Amino acid sequence: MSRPLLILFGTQSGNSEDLASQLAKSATSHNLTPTVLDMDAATVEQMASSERVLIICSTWGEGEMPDSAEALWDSASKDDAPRMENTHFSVCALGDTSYELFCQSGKDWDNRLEELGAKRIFPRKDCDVDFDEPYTEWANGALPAISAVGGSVSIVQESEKVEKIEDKPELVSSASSSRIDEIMSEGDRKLVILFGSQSGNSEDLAFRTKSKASQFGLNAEVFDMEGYDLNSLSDTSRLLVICSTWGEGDMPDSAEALWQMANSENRPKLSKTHFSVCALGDTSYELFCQSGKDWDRIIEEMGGSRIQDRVDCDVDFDPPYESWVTPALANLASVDSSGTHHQELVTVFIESLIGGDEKTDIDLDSPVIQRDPIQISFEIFRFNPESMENGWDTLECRMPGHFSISDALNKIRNEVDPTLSFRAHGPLSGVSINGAVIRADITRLEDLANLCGNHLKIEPLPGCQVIRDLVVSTKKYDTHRINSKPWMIPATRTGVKTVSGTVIGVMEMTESLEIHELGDINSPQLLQSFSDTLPYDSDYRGPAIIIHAWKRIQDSRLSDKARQSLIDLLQDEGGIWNESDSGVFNRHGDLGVKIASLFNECRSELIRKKGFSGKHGRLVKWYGLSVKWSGKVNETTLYRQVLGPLGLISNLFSGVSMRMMFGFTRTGSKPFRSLLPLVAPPAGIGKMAPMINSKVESHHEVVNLFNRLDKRF
Amino acid sequence: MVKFAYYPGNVARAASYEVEDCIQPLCSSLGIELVEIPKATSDGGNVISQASPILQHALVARNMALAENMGLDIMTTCASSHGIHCDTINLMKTDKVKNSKINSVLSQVSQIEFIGESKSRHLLHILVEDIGLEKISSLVKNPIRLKIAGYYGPNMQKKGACSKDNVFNPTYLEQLIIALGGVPVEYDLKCQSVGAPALLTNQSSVLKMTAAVLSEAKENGAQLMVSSCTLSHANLDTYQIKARRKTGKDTTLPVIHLAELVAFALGHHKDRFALLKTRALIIGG
Repeated sequence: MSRPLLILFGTQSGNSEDLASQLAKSATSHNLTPTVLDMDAATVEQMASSERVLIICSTWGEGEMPDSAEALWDSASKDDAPRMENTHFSVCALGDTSYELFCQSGKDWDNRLEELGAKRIFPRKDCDVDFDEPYTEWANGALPAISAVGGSVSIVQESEKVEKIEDKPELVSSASSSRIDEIMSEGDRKLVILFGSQSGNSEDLAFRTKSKASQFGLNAEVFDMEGYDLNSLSDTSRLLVICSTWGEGDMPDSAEALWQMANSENRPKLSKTHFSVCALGDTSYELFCQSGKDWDRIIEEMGGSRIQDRVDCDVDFDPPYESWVTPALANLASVDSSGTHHQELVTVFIESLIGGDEKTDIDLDSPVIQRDPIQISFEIFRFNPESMENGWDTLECRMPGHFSISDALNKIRNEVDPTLSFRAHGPLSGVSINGAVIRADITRLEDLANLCGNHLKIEPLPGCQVIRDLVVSTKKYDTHRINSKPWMIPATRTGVKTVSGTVIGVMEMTESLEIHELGDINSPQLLQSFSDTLPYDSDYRGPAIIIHAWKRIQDSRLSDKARQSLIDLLQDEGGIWNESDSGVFNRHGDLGVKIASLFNECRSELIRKKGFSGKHGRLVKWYGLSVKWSGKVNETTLYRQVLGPLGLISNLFSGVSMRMMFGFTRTGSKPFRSLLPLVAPPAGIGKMAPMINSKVESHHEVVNLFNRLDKRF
Repeated sequence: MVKFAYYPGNVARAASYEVEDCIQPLCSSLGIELVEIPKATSDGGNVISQASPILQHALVARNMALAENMGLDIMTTCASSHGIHCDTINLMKTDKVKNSKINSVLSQVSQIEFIGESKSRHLLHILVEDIGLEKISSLVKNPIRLKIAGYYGPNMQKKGACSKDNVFNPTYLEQLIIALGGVPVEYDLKCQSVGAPALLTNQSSVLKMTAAVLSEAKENGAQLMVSSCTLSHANLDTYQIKARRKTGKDTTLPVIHLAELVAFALGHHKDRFALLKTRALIIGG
């Protein structure tokens, strides 16, 4: 069956023409017969009579059409331009963000075609000068969507009850809707979403996908690759894989075992499985999205049918993910219970279930608690890596109080400045607002205004390298995490047999809950930003890695060797003692209080295992002892015991001792506070602490307290 | 006259005696009566908690219980001590098991228990909320007339410890500086830690943190820094030359404690105030 596609390009420098040629080549693999036309050679009547139209158009000067597109645009803009109700379209707009009216021509075409009644089957993509990647995203989404247009024809052929349906579009819709109802009410609507996650992004996307899947009548179940039985996929007809890439093209730790199984001889056949892959990665690494590419390949090798092309997402993964997820779900929703894919229903699913507006970030089944609009003054940090310039944008806005920070930033990006970069969803959406580090996607505007006032200063997370605007690099965290070898290295344990004969390990419920609670941190990157020390100490691994290692140590499944290795990691340089002030975590709400408490527990355990060794151990020991001896801290004792003779000499030459001894020259207080310096100099001189403390009243109570609670002092 | 049990913290009667010299005349001028707690001990300085969290909580709970027996709230001049007090008060409220264990030990060793009626208050919060900025302003005899950067530190800036001030963007110090005739200097790092608990153990990063705070305040025009934390004050003052050598940043800035600033403005220690102005306007650090 011939499925004609009209590809129109409006070009000034030749880029749109090149892309149109590429698009035509890709279109053939979607069973489409493309005709590529310069807008100069096309007419609006041609457009109106075409069922499928894809437009690639650049913008020229101050938001103007390219010369070659002027005539066609003039015709399409006329009041008497032909209606295009039968036309399905999508637009790829090329432009340059350094001009005020970015991608204006593409936007104009997009709006005008909609005004003329044409149906947008895929959202417009606005491309900056580096257009390759966004173009690919657009083409990957637009081609399958437009190739699904015209399915009504086959319905006509199959159904004798509906005659001449081409002339009655409303009947097409009705027939398709009833077919959708039929397919959605059939028995098996199961969708398996497998995620392989290292930092939590894939997991987050998996659950977002599950939420969206319900709109397509799919019963989605989300599974971590860790511990997943590959054999259970053999009966699965719908599969989505969302997998990040780790280090140099490696699988995430949690996906490693499943990957090994997929490469073994015993792997199952997936001949019934329709699948698509969303690959997460970072273009700054050589092997970009390698894990996702590997899964895409291996599932096909196992017999799976790729129902939607893989999408490769960079660190700013939201836009490509959004362009992938809707067509992927629509395609999978069009697989009936017998495993047959109904291509003709894909567009109908998209149009009828989400109204064709894929820009919405709000799940249709999620209730929204409405809040009154509030006046907010935003001060947003901007950084342009090309010019290495930074600065602040200030905007006065009125926005609904129930908006999340991501909603607010999205609105600003859509309506004010399309170049604003930030991560809108997931664990990496963290930003600093008036000093508070928060996740932008789950923090409500109204709550922040109550906490911080109506002037919100939005900055990238502190202590991180800024990539662009509010987007920060996670490379430092990733490197520390890789070096900490955070994966589970289990001990050989006694297990039990399940009914199916599989042997599994068991764990006490209380221990399981404790381990889960220890790891219940929804954004490790945000947790890293709790530390005031981290930006100043390049060796320090940071609180998220420390807490993860501590969680592993608590896990009884861990081998003794691995446990010892993690204890050494915490004790050694870069470990927990590098945190200079864990009390600062308490600033960050309940999670911060929990982390500060865990730090103390962990340090306490290290001291129990390693003794009061090293500077840190000596500080704790002598601090405690001096309090026990007199009820007060003896700073002189601390200096002497912790720094030792060499440290004290170093202080002498660095000016510290001089500033202490001659403290009176700055404060104006008495140079000598007692006669003690005459007996034991330099105690009591200037700002130096006394060498000997007097005891507090009823000192025996203090000694008793120490003896009852901790006899190590 | 308002009355508090006075807790000087770990260093106000040791290496930071200048705070102790100022607190009594300051309170006398403002009608604050301070009552000693002779049996009170160190609060553990978030150091003892690294080996034994329960021991540090017990030390603090005992101090709080002693004040509670006197029917008074505690007033302290140290933000770290205040933060530590608030942590223990919170624990005693929320963790019944630890509350029971701590009070059981306290009743055995000191025949007291901490019920939770006494609160911890920081001098800054008492000045702004209880005494009032208008009254303080009316009592000023020597307006400060310097550009002053306020340093809060992190320990007091958390929910439950910062009173009615903003957790992340506090302004009490700035309001007080204006009331005392000074010009407040805004800078981003006013709540950042200077790593006081690890001064002797992680000196490299602590010096960098100290230098960052001092240099940023100075870059924003500060002639003087006033600290609400006695413990951090020691880092910011005594270690500023070492911090400058470590980082190459300009860290020379006179640093005084909040109690000194208020006492000077209220007309106490005129000779010291004169010396301070000389340092701020002519010498520098």
